[in-house]
Amino acid sequence: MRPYELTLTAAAHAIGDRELSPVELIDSVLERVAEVDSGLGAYALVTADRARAAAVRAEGEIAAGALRGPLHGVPYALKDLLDVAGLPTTASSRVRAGHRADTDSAVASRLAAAGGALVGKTHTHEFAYGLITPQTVNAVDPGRVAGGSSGGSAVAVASGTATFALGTDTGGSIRVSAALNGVVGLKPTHELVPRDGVVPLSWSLDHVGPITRTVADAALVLAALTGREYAPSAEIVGLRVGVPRNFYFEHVNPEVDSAVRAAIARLESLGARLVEVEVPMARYIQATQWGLMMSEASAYHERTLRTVPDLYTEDVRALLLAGEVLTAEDYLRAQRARTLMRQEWLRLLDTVDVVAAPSSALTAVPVGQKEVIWPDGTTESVPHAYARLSPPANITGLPALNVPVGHDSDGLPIGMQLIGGPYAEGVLLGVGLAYERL
Amino acid sequence: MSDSVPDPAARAGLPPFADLARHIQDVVSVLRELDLGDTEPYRAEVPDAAV
Repeated sequence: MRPYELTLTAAAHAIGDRELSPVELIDSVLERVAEVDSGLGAYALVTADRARAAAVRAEGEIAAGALRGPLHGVPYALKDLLDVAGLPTTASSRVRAGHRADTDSAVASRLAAAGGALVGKTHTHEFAYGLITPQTVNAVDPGRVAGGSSGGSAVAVASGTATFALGTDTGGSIRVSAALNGVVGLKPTHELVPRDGVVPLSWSLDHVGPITRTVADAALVLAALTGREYAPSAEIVGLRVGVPRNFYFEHVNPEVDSAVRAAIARLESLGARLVEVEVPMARYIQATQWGLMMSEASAYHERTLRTVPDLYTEDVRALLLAGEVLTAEDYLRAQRARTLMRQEWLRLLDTVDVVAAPSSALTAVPVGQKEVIWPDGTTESVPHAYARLSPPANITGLPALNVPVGHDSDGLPIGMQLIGGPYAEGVLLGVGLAYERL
Repeated sequence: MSDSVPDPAARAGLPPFADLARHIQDVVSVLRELDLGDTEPYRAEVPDAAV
């Protein structure tokens, strides 16, 4: 196994045991970037010199007995919405041309303090307003979409060009990207991970979180981001797993449905107790998400939408302009509906420990595919199908973890999301760990 | 016949977005069905409240 293939956990052990130097690791990862990223397009910017300098510094500190922790000397990538002092934050948009951050985002600062080596900034769907990331292609099949909006980060982790990465999730962007590329993605509880220095899509729905190769890796990154200890237990005997009877399994690709149900059955085989649950207020999920996200996004872009509209890509500009038709009453109605929806979800989570469901209704579609036709004859736009199963966790702020649970008949990854109560990241990581160890 | 007022995209020489705007209004208007009573707008928890 070459160093770039190591999980974060394995790399941390090897570095801590002095079996692997951070310089060897970064060189391997940078060689991998040179080998594959021109074809994948995960990176908007590669900071090779900076990464090597961080690795050399880490090597010296570790040799002197000053190991900072498991991220020390480990290569990582940041979605290009996250500020790093001295580097541009492009949001993959021409609107941001010439930008250079003065200070680190809170999360970049915390990863730097943990001793990580920044490989570069990864592409996002422009301003995180989409679930395709057109600059990037899927890590498993380059003829397929990467997913989004954290597509660059997920592809970097899946392809070995970063040992871990950070993404953002406003309506599924960590979970869908991770699911489509076969990696782990965690959207933490809202406000657990700070968003200072992160270009917003929708202030009240945005979350920052890790994308990793394993659940154990996600726990290590979350600990560095929050300063909390996460030691998830894979013992899930008696744990109550909610299986939705509505919403999450409606209009889902049959192979996704089968894989996720099989994964849930495997949790049961480990001792979990399955409980059928009703997803509350399902009819109002999309309306609430759109009422919040579109209003906030259009408000953030109000000025540049007037001054430089032609610098936006057509799809994002249309969404931002169209969002301006929503009124203050629409927005406040969505915020009030959100209060009820969160109350209902908290009641639901009194009866189960986690809810298990597909992360995405589809696997990665061919690049350029616009619509999906469901077996009942209805059609749905691909972006809408990708976005549809994510919003409950964004609206309610509840944590949600994507775990890879197999592949479809084309070899494309399938993801299951686990949703838990506020600050129940440790529970989600434990369930994910239990599944991963099977 | 009076011309309708062009939308901002059309004024900027951009593709029209009226259909999308109408669709968004239609989707969001579903919330009018809810009896929200005294329900207040959502306020996020702060991390210190975590257990």
